[in-house]
Amino acid sequence: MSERPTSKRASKRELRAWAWIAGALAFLAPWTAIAANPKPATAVDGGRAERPVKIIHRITRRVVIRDPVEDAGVRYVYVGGGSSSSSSSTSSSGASGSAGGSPSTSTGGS
Amino acid sequence: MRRHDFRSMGTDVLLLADATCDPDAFARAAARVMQVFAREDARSSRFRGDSELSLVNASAGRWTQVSPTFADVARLALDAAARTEGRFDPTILPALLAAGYDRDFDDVIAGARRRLHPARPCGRWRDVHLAGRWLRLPDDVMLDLGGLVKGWTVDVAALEAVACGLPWALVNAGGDLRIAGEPPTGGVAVAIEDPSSASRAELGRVALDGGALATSSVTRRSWGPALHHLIDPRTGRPADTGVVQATAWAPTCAEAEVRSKVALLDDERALASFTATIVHDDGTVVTNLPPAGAEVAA
Repeated sequence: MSERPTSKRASKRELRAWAWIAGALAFLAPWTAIAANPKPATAVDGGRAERPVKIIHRITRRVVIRDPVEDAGVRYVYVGGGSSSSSSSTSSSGASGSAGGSPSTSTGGS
Repeated sequence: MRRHDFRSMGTDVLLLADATCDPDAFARAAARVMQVFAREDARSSRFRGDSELSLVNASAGRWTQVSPTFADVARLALDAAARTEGRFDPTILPALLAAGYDRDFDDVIAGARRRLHPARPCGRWRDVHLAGRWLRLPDDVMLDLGGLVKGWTVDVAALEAVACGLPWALVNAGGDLRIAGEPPTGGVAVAIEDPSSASRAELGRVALDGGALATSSVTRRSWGPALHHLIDPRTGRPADTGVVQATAWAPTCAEAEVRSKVALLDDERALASFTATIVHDDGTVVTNLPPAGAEVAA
């Protein structure tokens, strides 16, 4: 009858070494996961020029000018950007609040 | 320019006058304009349980005596509904509530609204009866004088500001604006905002030397895809006509408010009747505002 194999009992020194290794791995695991993921772009990483630009929706302005139908107390001064499809002039006027500068107020729905 | 800003009727209000005007007159005008807005907000807000409008709506089904001012504005609204064949409709409130605008807009965008309901039919303005100061709404109808009463208040405030001694005054309440008095040579520059810009960038510019401008936009007061405050009375749903913004001119701000809503629904057909600038969802801008420097046919 053969003798029952007995496992060698680890020494205190070995157990302490394994405990240190396990602790070190547990400590390093989250740092490794963070390092493995791509970094988000930041303002100071100098990557502004390389940052991808995604155009969600581009609107091209086309301005169609029709004949006026009434004597209105309002004049169209200009349209910023886009193209206009009319022979009508859209030059600036001497509107108070400076037609070329900032307007005095605005309208756009509320 | 001399300016005074404050908030009323859930929007920003601005009083604008010439830089050289008498400071005391401007201070008096500013106080008067604020008073006018506070008074009319208390009278016509649908978000105040004690407003005259709320009391009238709570009395639907029976005759109610209203104040002379309330009767005037209600008459203006019913006349506008008849003139525009219901495209301007003061009885769209149940449809607006069904679409989700059931509380102050700051709360709506915070997600506090109740669940959405199926579209509600409009066009009940024909069943609203007004005889002198007596008003009767049908049982299931509520009035919303919102935009119209704001325009009407702008008109009153601008005229009262001039009566305080200003040579001219411009009152702007959330884009509904009126100039009164003798405007400066060349008019006052007013930017038309770009409806596709969250920062309200400038789309175009006009020189206003008389009357009023109002803008209706489906991109403002919007709380979800295809959910906004401009109800199409023909469908009972938020308007979806391909027009995202309409800016209309009229002699008074109340009328400009009506015209801007009609232009939003009627698209370019509206340009055969009045002066407006229409912005389509593909970015096209169509305008019949006379260009600066050109003679205008009488």
